[in-house]
Amino acid sequence: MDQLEPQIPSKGMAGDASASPALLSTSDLTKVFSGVRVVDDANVTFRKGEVHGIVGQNGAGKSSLMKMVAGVYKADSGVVQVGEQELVFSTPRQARDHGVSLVAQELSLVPQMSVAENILLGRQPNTGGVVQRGALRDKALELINRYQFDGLDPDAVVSTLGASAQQKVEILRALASDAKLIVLDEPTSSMSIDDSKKLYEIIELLASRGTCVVLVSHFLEEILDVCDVVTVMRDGEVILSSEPTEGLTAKDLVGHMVGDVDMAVATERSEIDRSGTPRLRLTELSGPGFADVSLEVHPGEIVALVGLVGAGRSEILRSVFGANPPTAGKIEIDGEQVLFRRPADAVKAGLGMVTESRKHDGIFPVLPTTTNIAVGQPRATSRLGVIRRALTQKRSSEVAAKVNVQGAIEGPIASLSGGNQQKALLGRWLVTPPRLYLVDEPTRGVDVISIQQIHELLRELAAEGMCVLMVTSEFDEALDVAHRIYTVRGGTIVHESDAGEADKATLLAHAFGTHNESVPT
Amino acid sequence: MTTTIPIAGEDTRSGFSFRELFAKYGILIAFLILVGAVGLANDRFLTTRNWSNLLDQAVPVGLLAVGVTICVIAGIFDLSTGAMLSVAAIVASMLAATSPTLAFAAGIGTGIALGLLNGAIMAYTGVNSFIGTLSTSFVYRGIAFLLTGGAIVSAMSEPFQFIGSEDFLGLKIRVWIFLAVAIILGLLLARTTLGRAFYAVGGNPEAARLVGVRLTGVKTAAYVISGFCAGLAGVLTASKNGAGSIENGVGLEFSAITAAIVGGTSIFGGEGAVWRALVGVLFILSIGNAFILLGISSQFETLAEGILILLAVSLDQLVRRRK
Repeated sequence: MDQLEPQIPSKGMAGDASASPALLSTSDLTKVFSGVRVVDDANVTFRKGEVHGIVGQNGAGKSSLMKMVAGVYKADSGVVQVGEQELVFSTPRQARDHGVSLVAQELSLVPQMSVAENILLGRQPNTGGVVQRGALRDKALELINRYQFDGLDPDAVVSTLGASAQQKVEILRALASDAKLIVLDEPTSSMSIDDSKKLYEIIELLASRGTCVVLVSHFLEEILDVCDVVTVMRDGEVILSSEPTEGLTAKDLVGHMVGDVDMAVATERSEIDRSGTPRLRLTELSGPGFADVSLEVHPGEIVALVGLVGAGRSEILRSVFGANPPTAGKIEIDGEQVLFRRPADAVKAGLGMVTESRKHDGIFPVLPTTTNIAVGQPRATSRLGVIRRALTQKRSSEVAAKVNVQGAIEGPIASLSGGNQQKALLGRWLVTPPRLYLVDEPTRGVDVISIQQIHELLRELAAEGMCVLMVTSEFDEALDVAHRIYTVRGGTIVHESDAGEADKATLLAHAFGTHNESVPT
Repeated sequence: MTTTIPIAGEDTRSGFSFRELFAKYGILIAFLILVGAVGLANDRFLTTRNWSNLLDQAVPVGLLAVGVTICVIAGIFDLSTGAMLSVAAIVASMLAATSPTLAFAAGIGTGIALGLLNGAIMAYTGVNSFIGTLSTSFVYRGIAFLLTGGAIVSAMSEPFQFIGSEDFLGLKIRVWIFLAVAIILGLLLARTTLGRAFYAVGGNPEAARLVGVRLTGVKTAAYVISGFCAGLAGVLTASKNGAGSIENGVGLEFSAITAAIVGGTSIFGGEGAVWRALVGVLFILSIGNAFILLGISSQFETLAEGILILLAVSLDQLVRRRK
């Protein structure tokens, strides 16, 4: 296992990949999450020495597909074919034993350890459990030299390295385990242009040595530049399978990603009076992950920020709320300039925010649902710091009914289903209606019925005069409920449209940065 | 085991469930069984005199356990409670002859001040509470040493010793004070927005911050409450002994945390209650008491105590995991 045989390419070279033998292929691979087929009968072939791009909208199933190939998820049906074998991986270990390695978006390095230790983590040369430091370093150095990862110091501590160097370490770790297929999931999303370029050089080098590199990415131009073949996914289905990139344009890719049926235009909704002072106005607001954002939200209006994952939308919301205070620019609420240094200040000013990850920073799992609802606006249900229990019970039941929470609300919130937890969290700020309601991915990981109920709730709240600023990765959702839509790309607003005039193709083109090629209708 | 996901319109509560009962009150049931068993084996166990005595023993460790329960719920540790108790006992003893009232106030004030100092240090330096309060426990013990030079400080003053030694309605006065404080802090925890904030901060700090809870403020409040409890425990110890010393409360911080955890307060934060601290303290004390009454050699006591505590917490863990 510890043999580090050089993988001398038989003949497969980048650009000539389709001629090389299949390394691995998926056969009707399917994954179902809570009734939704996130990957549906996917058939894709990966060849030796090719760089293979996988693209699709948010939630199209790209990551899920590759996670099945890498054993992170177990396929619900279908198999992975490696040579003559038909396999279903249920652990990353099994996939690794068959030469498949996944480098996830969040790197899994041990920051305090050296590069060498990280590369050979879990396979350190040892005698009776004692690591042989010299051998460890030699082995790592040998790998670094073989793949010409120049400038990577085996003794450097990983936490001192930049993003691309850390990626290199991850890749070398994969190579150390004899990976023949390496999946990079959004490797450049947090990288500088320089670092990305370096990474692409490495990818090409690996391919020239016979490794198959799979690149899951949102950056279409880069995919076209770097990849030999591309697979396009939409709604869990493989639309274009292992298609040579030659002759394809970014516009073509977007076309495949969006499909034909997506000319759906926003549904009709009430007129908003925008003559008065906006409830929220951002002027050239900058902060961690976004810059120069100017926007307005009026009372009674639902405004959506759409874009790709990582475009900086949540960061804008969090900045307004004081969770990550902005670094420059102006926030005005009802014409009055404000700057919240902590969420407590925003809450005091009558704002409420529902975060995108309810498990991570939303729910208090062991506390009752009633408490989870009441905790956001304690003043509404307490007097001089003493909780009024009957009133808490009454108010939170009213809210639970309004947001359609099904289940025992006296029990711990963790015992509710995901959809009901989400609705309860939306209710957290509704005991007394907030001046500004910030919601981040309100329907993520929620069942279909709950999605409809949440949309209905948002519309209802807006009709009552509430002002909602929403972040969503579901373009249909924005078109369905928002009055106005801002598209965010690379941390700035690149497009604004009224719901009446917006269509999904245009929004997507702006989100992907291909709008110059596509013609808005 | 299957988990049922609530379907639209369906109420999944199926009424009474033994599992839920055990998950919630397992330690109480275990305690009652222990009391019943020892009571049957020895008729001196379940007497007013024995329990009046047990409760009196429970006062210092019980107060520390109540304070530290609030800390643990808020996701922090306080390992300096034993040392704070000692400093408070010494300060009170020094003033006992001058003015008993002042002695009480100064002793409790000392505890509050040291608790506040704990809070300020952790907030300012960002040091982990475990290691931070471990350090301040040495600092506070050191202060106690400097104050006394290692000598015992006499508090021979009748009015000062009154509370620690006299009875009221069959129990020592200091037991009543302890119970009153426990009830008040129990209510604070269960019925106030500050109490709810303790649970929120310990249960999910980032979520707590995002609903507008001030983390440092809430944590500091927990340290201050713990300091108050330690200060009161110090005063009541000095009042009973008629003296304050650097030897007061040595190692008691660990007994207090043990009691809190045995009672069922989650070491991971976000879950627990004041009554659990009381049950935990009485559980541990009655094991020791049972050994004496049943005439078992005290050689076995520490070992058996350890095993019983381990049994209690692992049973609790088991029931919780099944949940």
